[in-house]
Amino acid sequence: MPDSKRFLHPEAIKRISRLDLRAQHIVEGFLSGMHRSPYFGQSVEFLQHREYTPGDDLRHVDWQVWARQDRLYVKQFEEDTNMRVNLLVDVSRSMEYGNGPLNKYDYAATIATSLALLILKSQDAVGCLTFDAKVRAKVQTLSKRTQLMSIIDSLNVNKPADKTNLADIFLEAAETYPRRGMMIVVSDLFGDTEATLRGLRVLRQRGHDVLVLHVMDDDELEFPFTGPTRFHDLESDTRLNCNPKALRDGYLEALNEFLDEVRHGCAKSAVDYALIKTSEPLDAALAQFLSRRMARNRSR
Amino acid sequence: MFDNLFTSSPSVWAGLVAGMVAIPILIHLINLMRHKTVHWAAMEFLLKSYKKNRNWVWLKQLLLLLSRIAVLVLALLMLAQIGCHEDRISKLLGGATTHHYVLLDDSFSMSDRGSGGSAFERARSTLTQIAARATNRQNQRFSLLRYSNARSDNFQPPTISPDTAEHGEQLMSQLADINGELVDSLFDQRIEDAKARLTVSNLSTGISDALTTVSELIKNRTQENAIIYVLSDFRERDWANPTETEELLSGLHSTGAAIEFINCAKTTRPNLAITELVPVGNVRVGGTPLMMKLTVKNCSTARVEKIQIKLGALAFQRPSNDAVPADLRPDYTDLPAVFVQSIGPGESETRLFPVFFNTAGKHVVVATLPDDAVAADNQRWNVTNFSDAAKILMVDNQDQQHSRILSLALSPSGMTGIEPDFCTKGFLRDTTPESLLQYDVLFLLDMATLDESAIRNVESFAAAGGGVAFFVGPETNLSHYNSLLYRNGSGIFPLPLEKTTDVPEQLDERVPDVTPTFHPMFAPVLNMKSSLLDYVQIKRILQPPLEWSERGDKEVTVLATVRGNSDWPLIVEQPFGKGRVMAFLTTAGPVWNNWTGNATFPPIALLMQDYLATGKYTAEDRLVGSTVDIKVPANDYTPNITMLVPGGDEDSRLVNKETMGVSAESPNQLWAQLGKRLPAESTRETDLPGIYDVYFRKTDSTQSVERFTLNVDPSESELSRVNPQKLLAALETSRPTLVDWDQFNPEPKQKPASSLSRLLLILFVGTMVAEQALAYSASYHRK
Repeated sequence: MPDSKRFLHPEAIKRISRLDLRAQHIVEGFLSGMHRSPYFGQSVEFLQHREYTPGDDLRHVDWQVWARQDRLYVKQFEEDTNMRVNLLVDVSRSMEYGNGPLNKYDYAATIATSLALLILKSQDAVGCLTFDAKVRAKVQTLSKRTQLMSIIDSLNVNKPADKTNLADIFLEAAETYPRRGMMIVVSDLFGDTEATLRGLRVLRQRGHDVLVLHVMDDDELEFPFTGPTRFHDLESDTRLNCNPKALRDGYLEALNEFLDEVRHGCAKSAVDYALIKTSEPLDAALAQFLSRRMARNRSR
Repeated sequence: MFDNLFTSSPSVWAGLVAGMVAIPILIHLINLMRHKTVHWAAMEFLLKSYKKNRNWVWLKQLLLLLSRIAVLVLALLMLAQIGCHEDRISKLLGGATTHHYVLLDDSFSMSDRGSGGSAFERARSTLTQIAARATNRQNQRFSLLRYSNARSDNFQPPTISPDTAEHGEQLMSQLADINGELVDSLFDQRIEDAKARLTVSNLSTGISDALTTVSELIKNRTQENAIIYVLSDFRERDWANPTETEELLSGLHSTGAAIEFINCAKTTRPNLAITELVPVGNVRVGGTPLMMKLTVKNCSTARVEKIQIKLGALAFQRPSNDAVPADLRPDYTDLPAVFVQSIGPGESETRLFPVFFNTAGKHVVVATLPDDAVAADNQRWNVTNFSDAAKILMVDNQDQQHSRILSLALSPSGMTGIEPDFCTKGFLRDTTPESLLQYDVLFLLDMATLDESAIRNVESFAAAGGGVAFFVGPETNLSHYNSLLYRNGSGIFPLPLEKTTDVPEQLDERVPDVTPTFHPMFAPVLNMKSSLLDYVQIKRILQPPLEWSERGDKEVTVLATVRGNSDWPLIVEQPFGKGRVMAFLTTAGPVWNNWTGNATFPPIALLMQDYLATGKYTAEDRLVGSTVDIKVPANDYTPNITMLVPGGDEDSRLVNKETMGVSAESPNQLWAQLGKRLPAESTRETDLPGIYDVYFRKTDSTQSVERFTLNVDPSESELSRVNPQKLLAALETSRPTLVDWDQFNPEPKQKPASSLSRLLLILFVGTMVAEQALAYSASYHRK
């Protein structure tokens, strides 16, 4: 593991209790390992020329073109069109499971905060919506400096409820954030898979770029339990006494069916999908985001 | 198949099986209760898997549980050694005690001594090995009971009723050398102490009493595993027909007890035994020779040659008026030895020899064989009461013509020891039955009639064992004899009389007038072609009715006839009570015959007297260990008696003083019993062979002595060993084992597994493999 990555590992991140400091630590560590600046500021990326119209900033007039063609044109840069990113973070009870340094909720919140910080650093606007059975908090999509604390506040949810239908949540998110932008869903996606995929399709239909960060604990992916065990459902009163070894194969089969369905559903809807284990370093989500951002710019 | 385990404790067995079934179930339930709890998010997938695999998982778990139960039950059955003879389950659990009961044969055949010591010494050695077997194990108890101690009449009257557990415990506490002692680290010393006290008895005792005693205990000690060891020499005579023993052994076997026979006899070696030593004459008078009969039996399977039997006479002085004589040793005299050339196996040889004691007294004759395998039967004692004279009473008429001649024949110059007294019939009338007891024989010579009281006295005398001889003659009143003396066969006279018959003279052919039958009285003339008896002439006789002669009387024996004519019986005899009665149908003196002038008359008269006195001298052959009742008139004796019994050194005897009590049967008698169990001893005062004296003090301050001898039972001398195969076949239902003493193993090897045990082992291994496979399949094994 590279040195820069070492500090992004959940074991290390767990020692930092404040989310904003965590995010700062992650983003800084993440950026220090990159050769090219990810920031999107003025005069960095030229996009196109347009004719000057009264009121335009004279600093953007391309005087070289005026000298050659005697016509006034102004330069347009990429940063001129600020990106709007909305984080849809699952804070339901199922996210409380975790056998590693961070449970799924901690991991998701850390990712969301880190993404928000990274987005704000690049002068883009970021919003946040947390949900369980219903939408618990909404933060408008803004790029001001205090936005990060608003998002952190929204991530602190008391008494999370069970998850129901993600389609409704995503529909409500689409209505909350009508302007097209990027929707980053951070969730374990447990629930009605069909409805989840339907919700994601709704977001896409509204013109959003959608990135699903599917957060799963290692235990959920490997089911390593042995010995007589009582499993108590986090989201209901369902209990099951069993010998886990006897059910492991069936469990993994069902899980893989679920993952395949989600993966295929996302691909079908042109939704970016990334499965993230809570044991992995937290920069994976940032890398996924940047990769998506670059692809979006290229396509524009 | 399950005998031993079920019979030892069915309830324990049922509990164990239930436990083996319950344990896996309980562990399973406990494991279910001890599960860890996981708060789980991806429950949907888990429930899907559970729903899909539920039935199969349940089935595998059930099979796993059943296989584990089966493993435990099979392990239990294997540990219990089902199909083998030993019950190990109790030992494994440490709950039951194993009780080793050792029954030790101490009858005198166990003294059979060979080059490697006696059978009893081998038994003692084996006792140590049995103790070692017990010492090497846990929870062991030990009991030792000798055959001689277990004699049914050898314990004090128990205060607890039979058929109770306490009764058996009380018996054992009285009889056993070691009674249920716990085997611990100090037991070796205790067994050595007990062994030091063990000696061979002089008794002939079987196993029955010992088995009965132990059976009573074992049937009430259900919590113990019993092993019964029988240390014996297993002689043919003891086990030839073991019906009663088999019943006892079967009873023990049914309680689950194991029975081990240990044969301590090595080989069958030559053994001679003196089986008889008795006087053959009934004139037992000091100063007169007495013939003794000695019989020696060869109790082995080989002929024995050149046997010299040593004889001795022990003359005892009459007790003085003082107390018991200070010098108790008799005056011992060697007699000429008797020599027997050879005796075949199982055969007996008898020899007669004379003994002579100068004075009257209760003297002893002892015969001794050379040393052989068993010493106890090589010596035998006989005590004979020699009186001053053998008194007879002759009742004659005033002229005494018959008695004078008869007394001359019976006691010529007093050399025969016979002392006749003379009287008339008036004496018989006036005397008492007790006064007549001093006489051996009454001779009634040509009595015309007898008074009724005289008849009663004579009949009492005969009934008590005295001999009576009637001689008839001219004075004899036939009707009186028939009515009062014969009384249709119920009286003392043997036959009815009808008439006086003159025996005609023979002119041509000579037939002896006296024709004797085969009878000891005629011993001097029997088997002779011609004797002086042929010259006796009988002139007249009293003849019974012809009907009587033809019919006869089964109680009456005709000893001689006149000329062989059954209608003319001459001498007839009948038993009367304990005594014998003879009737001569002619005169004693030379009135109707000339026999008294014949040389055959004195010896035949002497033999007749001897024969008639037989009832007075019944042979008493007492065996060691028996009890002897002593009764004396209470008016004539004081209750204090002194008994001298064999014991101590060779030349001395033990002195026991006792007090007689009043007899329960008759208050006029004092009573004592010799042969009680000695205090604090396991033996009785009559357990040794030899001479026993009881000294009495009479109320007139004089002393008297009762002397008797006790000898060993010659049947114990038979040393033939039983065939082991036949013995085991006869005892098949009780399944004993039989080993020789040198094959006894204090640490027996594990018996080879039976077919059932092998099957159990295969099932056990198979079930274990199946259990592991199921456990793996059910994912209980960590990968």
